[in-house]
Amino acid sequence: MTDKSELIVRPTHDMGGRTPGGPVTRDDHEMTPFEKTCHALLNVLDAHKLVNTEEKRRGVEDLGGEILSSLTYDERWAVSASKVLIEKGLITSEELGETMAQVRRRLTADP
Amino acid sequence: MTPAFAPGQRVRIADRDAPGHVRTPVYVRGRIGVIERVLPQFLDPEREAYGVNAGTEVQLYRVRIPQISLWPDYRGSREDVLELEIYEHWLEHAEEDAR
Repeated sequence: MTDKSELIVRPTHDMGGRTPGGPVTRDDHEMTPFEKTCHALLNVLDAHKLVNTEEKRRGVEDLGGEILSSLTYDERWAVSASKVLIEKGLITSEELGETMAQVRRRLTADP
Repeated sequence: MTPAFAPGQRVRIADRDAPGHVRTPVYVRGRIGVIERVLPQFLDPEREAYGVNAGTEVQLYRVRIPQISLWPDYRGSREDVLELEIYEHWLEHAEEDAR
């Protein structure tokens, strides 16, 4: 199989049997507020049949190797779900961008 | 829909390319295993993943594959197996003398 075909039919996330596999890290931590909020929001989207688990998984896979290796677990889910919401026409890129800017202003505003 | 396979039957996991959201990892494609148990039917993840909510249900199975047949340099017991869950459309009847 050519390198190009391999990229298409064996994307980055399908890691089984790849060498070197490297050690498995077993670190654990208490869920952060961001992680809890993210988890809760995604559950609500699923419960309301807006974004299902398979769509989110596909969205994570479609992020590509560089983003997959840079983002944390919940960050991947959040980015994936936001893209699925845009795909489905439930939000627009503009709305999401504006909301992100508002949040950023709030976080950086002087108290 | 009646399950096409029963516990104990030898099966080959299809060796095919499938761009998209698939849940059959590349490293088990083309390998021979045994049906360990028949699981429930689920909405087809390959369609669900793209918002095609057609309600198509597919049969899921737990398949058991000897570790030694997956990894040539496997150093554990020859009795060790991998169990993973595979949808029916990825399974074929395997010949008794197959690899």
